[in-house]
Amino acid sequence: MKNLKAVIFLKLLFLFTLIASSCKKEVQVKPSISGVSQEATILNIGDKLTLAPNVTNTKGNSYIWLVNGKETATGQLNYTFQATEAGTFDVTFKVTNKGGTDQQSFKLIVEKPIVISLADQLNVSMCNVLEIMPVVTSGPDREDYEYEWSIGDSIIGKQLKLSFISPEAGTFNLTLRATAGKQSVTYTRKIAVKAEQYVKNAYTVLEYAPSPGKNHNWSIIGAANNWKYGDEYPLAYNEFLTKAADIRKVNANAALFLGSWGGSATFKFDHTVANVSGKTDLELTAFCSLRDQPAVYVAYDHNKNGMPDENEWYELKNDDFGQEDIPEYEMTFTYNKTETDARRIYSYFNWRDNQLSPASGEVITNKTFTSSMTTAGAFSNRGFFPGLNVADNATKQAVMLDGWRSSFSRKGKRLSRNLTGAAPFFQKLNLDIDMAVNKRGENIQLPGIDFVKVKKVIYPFQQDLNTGNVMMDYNMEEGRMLQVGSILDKHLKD
Amino acid sequence: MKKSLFTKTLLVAAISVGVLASCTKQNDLLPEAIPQSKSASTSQTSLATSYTITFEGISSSYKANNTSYGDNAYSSWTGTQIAPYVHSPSNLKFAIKGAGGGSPVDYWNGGFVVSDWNYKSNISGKTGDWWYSYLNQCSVYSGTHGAKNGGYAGSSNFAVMFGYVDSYNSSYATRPKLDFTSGSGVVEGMYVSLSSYTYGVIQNGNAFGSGAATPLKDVAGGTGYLKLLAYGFNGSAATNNGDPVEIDLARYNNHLPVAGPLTSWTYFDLSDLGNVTRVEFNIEGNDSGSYGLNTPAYVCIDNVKVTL
Repeated sequence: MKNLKAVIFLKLLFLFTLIASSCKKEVQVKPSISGVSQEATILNIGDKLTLAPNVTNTKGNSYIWLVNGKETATGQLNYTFQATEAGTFDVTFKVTNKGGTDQQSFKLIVEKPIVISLADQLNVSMCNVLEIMPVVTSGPDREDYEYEWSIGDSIIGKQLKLSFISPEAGTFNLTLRATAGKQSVTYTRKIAVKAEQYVKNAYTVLEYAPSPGKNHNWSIIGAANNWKYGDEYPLAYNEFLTKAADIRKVNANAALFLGSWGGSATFKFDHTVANVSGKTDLELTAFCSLRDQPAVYVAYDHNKNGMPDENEWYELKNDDFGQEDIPEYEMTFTYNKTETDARRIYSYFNWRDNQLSPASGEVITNKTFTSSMTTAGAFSNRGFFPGLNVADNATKQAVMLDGWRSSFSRKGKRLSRNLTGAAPFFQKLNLDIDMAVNKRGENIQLPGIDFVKVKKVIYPFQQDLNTGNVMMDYNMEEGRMLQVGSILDKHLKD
Repeated sequence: MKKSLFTKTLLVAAISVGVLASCTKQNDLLPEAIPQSKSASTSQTSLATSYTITFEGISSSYKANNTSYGDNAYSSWTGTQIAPYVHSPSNLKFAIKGAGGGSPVDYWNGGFVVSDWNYKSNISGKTGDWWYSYLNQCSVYSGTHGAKNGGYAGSSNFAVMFGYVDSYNSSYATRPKLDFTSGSGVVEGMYVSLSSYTYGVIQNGNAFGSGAATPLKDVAGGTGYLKLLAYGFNGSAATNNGDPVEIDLARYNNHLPVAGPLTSWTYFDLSDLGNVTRVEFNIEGNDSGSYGLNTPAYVCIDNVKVTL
């Protein structure tokens, strides 16, 4: 009996254990999804993206894929999304088993394709700027648009708007490549550049504002040392400008004598000089030393009014940029008088600067009549105040010609510099329009330039053994005065 | 009566001075009567006498010798160095800068040497640009090549001036000068001609500056020039109001010569400088670069006319 009880107990224990065991196997654990990025994935139309999340507890699972709430696939762990239209898409992956459900969403953004409106055929004359302004009619809502214009292997622009200019005639394939996000689109257009005839030299003189000094010769159009041989043109101001243009058109070397500090001249091209990336664009010939090269300003005729406006000027930055010791220097020159005696002529002018303790001086030109005659029998203007001329050899009466002023000021920055040992000579300065900067020194991108202003900004000092090597003011010395000859467009072919 | 006697006395004195000069000077002393137009009416100026310094017949010790380089014009010369030539009685001195002070001098510092060389092309054993190099710097481009007749009017002797000051060398160089060792006078003028070295470089260019040999006619767009300037001083005071007188040694316009190059002796009028104790010279040109003048700064002078 005792054994029977034990057997029954064991059987009951076994049965209980069996029942308990059977009940535990029936409990289901809900699935778990991982590997789904919370960040949106950017797609372009045509892209395919396979979504393959990780799932744990896969037994008895059912899978559903929904796009924007609409069921698109079932029974598969992976889903391939095809971007067929632009928009934002929530792709939801839903896993269910008896233990429960898990779901995660992929955020997909299919961006709009870039579509740009651009004229099919582009036409422009040589050395003229064509403003090409494409319109982006469609595209992703992004801030990272980038553009690149090119002809062949040369990149010519990196903005949507292109100021196109070519110094060569012909028909070119102009390519615009736009990128935004992962999108890239390329457009190619033919651009026809019509041939034109231009002069390489900036021959037109819009303004001539020389600063006088010892033996300065305001009337020179040519070479200052050829004053005796026909390079003097003592004319009324406007006639002088016209004559200078006429001569410089056929003889690029015909120089103007800008003179001492502050002297300047403004020249105009008969075309726009193209700003070619990576190359120097202008060749300017000037008489100066390596240490007192002139400041060069350029202007592009944005408003096409044919004149350089004040807000269109930019300086071509060189090593002297920002080195001025007197930013707003001013010198006033005033003609005084001219006297003669039996052998000589004496002409006087005064100068004065704008400093708190003003510097001033008088420059006297005196020369014998016999040594001052040109080969044509005229009395030379060498050393005379700008505009002053002796037209009558008999009376030696000096008069100021029309349009020239008997008193004027020159203003601007002054860089005082010891030029001892720096020999002046006619040298060619190669200038890059890409060096154009505003007054703050910030780079300004110009498609080309129409005007050039050349100005003497270095105020020279020099030591001379003959005067004990004392540092002396050489601003008014003839050998230190600036002359400017040709200003050539380097891209224009002969 | 007094006036007449005084005038006669002056006349005798003038004749005596002339005779004395003739007796004591070598062949280059050629007293000349002052042209009437240049004579003043005062008795004092009527005593003035002009001399033309021809450099003829002077001792070889004053002359560039050995070669047309003028070896004896340098301190490295082991023999007797060229001596300063002081014309008598004018006392006008022709010398290398610093000469006469006891220390050896070098012609490259500028000044004057007397010469009779006139090689106008390469001589035997010389090739290339020898004849227009510094190795032939004492030759004048005049006369018959090598015949030593290159001076004014076919004479033998002349002086060669070298030196210049420009913005490159102004802190250490001085202009070559002619000075009266005592007294003063009017240097009326002189004849000038190009040296072979300078003429050859004007014609052919040299490799200074840009490195390319450019003839002067092609410099500065065909407007190359080289000129000689003279400045007068009486003591420390500049004469002629500080203005120089000048003559073109070579000048081109539109690549064509408008003056020179002076290969025939040409008169350089210095009279505007007036009474001076010294005349300083300079040579300027526009074949120049960052190191200054590229054209060799030599000029030959002869028949220097002085009025005392």
